[in-house]
Amino acid sequence: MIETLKKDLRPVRPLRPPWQYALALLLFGLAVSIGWIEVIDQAGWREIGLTSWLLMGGGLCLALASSAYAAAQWLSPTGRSSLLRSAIGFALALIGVTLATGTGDFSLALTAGCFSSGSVIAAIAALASFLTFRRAAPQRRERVALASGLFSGVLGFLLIQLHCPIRDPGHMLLGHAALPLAWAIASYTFIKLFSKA
Amino acid sequence: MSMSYTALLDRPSGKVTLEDWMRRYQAGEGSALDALYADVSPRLRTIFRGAANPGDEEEMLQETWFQVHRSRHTWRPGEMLLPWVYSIARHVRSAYYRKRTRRGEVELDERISTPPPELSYDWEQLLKELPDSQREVLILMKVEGRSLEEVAAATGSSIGSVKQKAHRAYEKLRAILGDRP
Repeated sequence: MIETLKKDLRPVRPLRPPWQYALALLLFGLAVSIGWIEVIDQAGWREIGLTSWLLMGGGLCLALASSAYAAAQWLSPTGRSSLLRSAIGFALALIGVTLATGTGDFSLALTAGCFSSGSVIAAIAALASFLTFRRAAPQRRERVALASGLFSGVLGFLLIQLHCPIRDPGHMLLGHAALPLAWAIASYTFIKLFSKA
Repeated sequence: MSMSYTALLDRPSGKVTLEDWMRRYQAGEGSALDALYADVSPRLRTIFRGAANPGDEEEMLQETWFQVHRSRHTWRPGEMLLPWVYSIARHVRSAYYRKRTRRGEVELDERISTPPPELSYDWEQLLKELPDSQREVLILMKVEGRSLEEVAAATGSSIGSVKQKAHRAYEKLRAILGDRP
């Protein structure tokens, strides 16, 4: 067995400290956000009150930072972290969404449109996460995928919320707030199915 | 690059630690892998002791070394090596039992509650009576001589949880020994 391992022996570069990976991903998220704000109309920003935005923006930023940090910690088999802070951030954002809801007719087409647009942002973030965390320990890939998927979905949620002025509760929940959960589950499932453990 | 690692091992104290070997292993030196294997394997066997049959122990050991090899870049210099290896070993053991339980080859609860042989005070037999998590904590603390902090890091749990598992393990052993003539 040792001889088999020796045949595969080549120098490897150890992982960097976790904060460097988390910072890299957050800077990427910031760059995407700035680009999005510059290019796309931010009608959603004006439709929602300050309290809602503080809860939503603050909660989502907390969720972004803590999910990026958790993924970075889980790169190593000994790295310890949890998604509790991300869950708290997401819960705050949901309260913000609830406060911001208004009246309007639910449109499946518009909701699907928002979800798809948010998913495009999330897919870009997921690709960046994959590149950042591709050297995760094989034992931790599923956890890293879960945290990365959450990060990607939260970024999609935040940016689509800035853009979309629709305040129908069903639309906001299914078209915007469902993104983090959907991307976390999709990312975890994808790695679980296709990653060689 | 390998020169610097060699120089590291020639330091005045002359003591080569597991971490030094690991650095050399990361640098691609086969002799470092031999040294690590010789030193760490007996420790890993203590973690796997109590497996349903001796073949399982050997299989888990081999799988752990494959995983160590695949994950070797995730050990960061400056970090203690054993907690890192133990984390991988725990993952291997859990995955192994999950797989076997799914296949119906082993019933963990049944195995844990199997009555001990009459009048046996054999340490290993007694340890087999404990649940995996408690046995692991006890072995790391009492056989390996690891500190609470090291055991917590190796098992991925808090210090409080390690204390609790150790306490429960003592209670269970006390109960078993008390029941015996």
